[in-house]
This record gives sequence, structure tokens and C-alpha cells, in this order.
Amino acid sequence: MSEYFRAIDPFPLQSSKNTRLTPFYEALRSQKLLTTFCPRCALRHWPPRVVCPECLAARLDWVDLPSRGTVHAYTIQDTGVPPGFPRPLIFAVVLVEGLRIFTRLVETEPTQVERGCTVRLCPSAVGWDPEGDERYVPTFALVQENA
Amino acid sequence: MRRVALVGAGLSRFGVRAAGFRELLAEAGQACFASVPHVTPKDIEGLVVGAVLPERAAFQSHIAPLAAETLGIQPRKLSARTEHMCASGSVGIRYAYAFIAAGLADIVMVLGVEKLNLPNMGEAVLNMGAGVDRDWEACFGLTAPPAFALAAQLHMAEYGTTEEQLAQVAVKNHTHSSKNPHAHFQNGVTLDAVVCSRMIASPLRLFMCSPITDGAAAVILASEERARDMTDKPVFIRGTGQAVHGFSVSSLDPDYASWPAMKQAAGDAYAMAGIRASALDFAEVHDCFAIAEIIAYEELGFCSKGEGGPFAAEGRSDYGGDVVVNPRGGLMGCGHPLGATGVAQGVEAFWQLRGEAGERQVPEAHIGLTHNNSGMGEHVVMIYGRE
Repeated sequence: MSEYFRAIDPFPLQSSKNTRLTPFYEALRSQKLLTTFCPRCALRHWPPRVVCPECLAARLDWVDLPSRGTVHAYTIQDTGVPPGFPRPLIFAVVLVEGLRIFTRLVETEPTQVERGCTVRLCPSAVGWDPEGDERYVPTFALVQENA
Repeated sequence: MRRVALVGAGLSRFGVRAAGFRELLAEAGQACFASVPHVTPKDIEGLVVGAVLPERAAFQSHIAPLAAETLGIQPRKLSARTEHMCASGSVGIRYAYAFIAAGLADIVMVLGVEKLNLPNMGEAVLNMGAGVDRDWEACFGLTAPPAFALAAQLHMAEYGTTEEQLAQVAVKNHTHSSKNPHAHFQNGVTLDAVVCSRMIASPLRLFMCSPITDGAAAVILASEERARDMTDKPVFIRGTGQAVHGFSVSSLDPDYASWPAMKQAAGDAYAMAGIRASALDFAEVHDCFAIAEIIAYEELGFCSKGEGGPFAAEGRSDYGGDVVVNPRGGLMGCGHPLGATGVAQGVEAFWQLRGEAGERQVPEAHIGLTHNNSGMGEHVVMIYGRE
């Protein structure tokens, strides 16, 4: 059964064998947030794109995003959490320089989260990919000076 | 374009069913044929089946031919499956409508079916994550409740909507489903019970959420000419609209408590039907969560933006109000077997407009709307009428 779940787990495959977004995931491993930028449209995307949804250009640049943002809205899920995920889950829409980033807050006390509070990038390891590399997803954590 | 009508409709019982995928669709198909005695499976020229998760929940794809064989149908004009998450059923009705309106077929059945409850409920919950963006949402453990909870949080912050107003929507729909023998929940619920129920994803509590439900629904559509031979009371499709503005939470409108795609789909459907919202006698809206019904009042034009909470609290969406919303009990009361839901809304419109809705009949129902969404940025609206 474990092999069955591993084959179709809900985490993206991140190596260059599987996606062109590998630079995003490599940066994430070193605690940096990147996204794609379309030079033709002068448009920054979220999430990172493989083609620009405005002009369909496939030649996109990687640009740095700040690793801090503010919570626009959040919700705490106690019940109905999918297997393999911790309880409770704190989901949030985080504003990073005008981009709305849907994410999850980790290493955070649920009762301390408020709208407008500052959060920082805090990537989470989610399991190995078939090449044997640890995969990460772009979770955030509450910045302690909020508290 | 030719006019198109529903001539038959039927449901399986909704709930946690001791029945497999094939048995559920057979039940709805039988009930549908029983409602229109002059039509047999061999008369059906086309079959469209709405189903979302059979590959995961029943290890079964290739759904439309399976359903056809089960019911003794041999499609010769159209055979297709529609998958559009929670709106799959309504998307199927639109396909059948377009085929008949264009003259490519005269008689088409649309089935919606879902078997969601599994021996391992963890797997059933995990499966629901397949409907959100794997790379940017499901990887965090997202399923539907927290996504809609974020819209609820924003609606409460921006427009002052209260937890009690959310609860009042749940009470109304559970009261309605107590008069629906096909519904998952038939016992009703009090306001106290709703506000004291378990928190699922703040601020949405258990009774403000639709449950994980097994079920199936079926309708038969026909061209006007054929419909008049089959029944004295055809129910006409008067208008339809669909709009998709975005798939993931990150790509929604900056005010994600506003769903402009719903307004657009409804606007197209109203224009096609030549009516305004005030003409509607009832509306079956996609109350997957209580906040979704409150936002639906606003985007469908029943009240202005931000007034959805008071609209519910003042009883304007109940019997005796402006428009009866979710007379069958909606998704909260009936349950939400994904692919079946949009078709079940069509079944309710059929019964209401023929005066066959029993204890929950909306008096003098002449025209009604159904709204089915598959995410906050993706909406389908249908308008059905007696004429």
C-alpha cells in the first residue's frame, strides 16, 4: 500500500526530468522564493508559470521575491485533514509585493495568527522524489515579533 | 436553435450508501425511465455521464459506455463523460442541450454519479485533493473546506457577515431537506446545534458544510417536438451560462469574496431566458458551504454585494420570501456526490416546475434557476421554465 501512495502522492515532482520549474524548487531548498517574470508583458506571475498567460511567451525570467509577506486571510482546519498532514492545518493567503500567494503556515501557534501579521518563507520537506532528492513546498511561518 | 426540454428525471437515494458505483447509476437511471413511461432505453440516442473521481474511488474510467451497458442504452448520436469537478453534472446537461438544440440528436440522457465513501475514509478525504491544484494547493493538504473558509473570512471582514447568518443558511437548508426523501440528512437542525457543531475550517462548522455523499441523478432531454409526444408537462431549458475566471485560489479576484464569474454566467443565462432575477420562483444554488450560498445571493442578483448575510437572516431566501433558495435542501442537506449534484439540481427543477415536489413544493413555480460551481472562479447557471 505504501508504494501505491508514493506513486501518486499529492506533491509535485521537482527535478529537471519532470518539470521546467526546477530552478524554483532549487531556490526553495536554500530558503529563497523565486517566481517567473515575462519580459514582454513586464508581468510577474504567481505561481511560477511555464508560459505567460497574457502573451503565451515561453521565455520567462526568474526573479527574486522577498521572503516576507503579510496575511490577507487565514483559516484553521481541525477536522477533515487528509492523511499524512498534521493537525491543525493553517491555510493563508499571503500578500508578497502585491502577489497573492496561497500557502500554509507552519511552526506557528494558531491562536497567534491575525490578518495583517507578518510571515516569512519557511519551506517544508514533503518526501523524496524518484531521483532520491528531498522535495520542498513553499510554506510560511509567523514572524515572532508579531507575537 | 431548437428548443430543448427535460422529459424525465430520477434520483438514487443520497447518503452513505451500501452500493457500488454501477448500482448507484442504475438506481437513478431506473427512476428516470420510470418517470417517463413512453421512453425506453433503446429510444435514447445519446448518453452523457458526469463523474469526477471514479478512477480513484472506484478504480474505473471509461464511464459512459459502462453506464450505457448497465441501463441497456446503445448510444448512436453521442456518448461522453464530463469531468469538471463539482459542476460536472451541469456541464453534462449543457452538452446534451447543445447537441439537441443543434439538431445532432433528439433524445439524450444525462447521468451524474459519484461513489465517494470508501472503507478507508482517509483515502476518501485525500481523493478530494485531486480537484485542487496539486503543485500549488493539494501539496499543502488543501481540500475544499479551507478554500471556501478563506472566502468566508474575507466576506466577514469586508461586509460584516456573521457566524449566525452562516448558521441560518444551514438551518434553512436542513429544514428543507427534512422534506426530501432522497436527501442525505432528513432530521433538520437547530441554530444552536449548528453554532455548537465541530469546527471544520474556521469559520465553517460541520453543519455549514456539505458532507461526503454517494449518489446518482438522471434526466432525459428531448427536442421540443419529441418532448411533446412524450409528456404533457415538458420542462424547458430557457437559458444557460458558464464562465471560468480562474482555477486556483491564488488566481481569484483580489476580493475573493466576490465571484464575478458567477455574475457573468448568470447574466448570460438571464439574457438568454429574457428574464431578470426577480422573475425566479426558486433557485437551487451550490451551497457546498454556507458562505457559497450567501455569495450566490449577491452574484445572482437577489441582493446587492455584501447584503447576502442579512438576506438569509431576514428569511428572504425561504418560503414566503423573495425567492425560495434550495427547496430540495441544497448540497448541505442532500449531500454532494460531485458529478451527481448538477443533475440532481435539474431533477429538482423538473419536479418543482411540474408541481411534483411534494411537501417542499414551491407554490406556483413557473421558472427557476440552478447554479453549480467547481471552484470559486468557475460557475454554471441554468434556467428552467414551464414554457
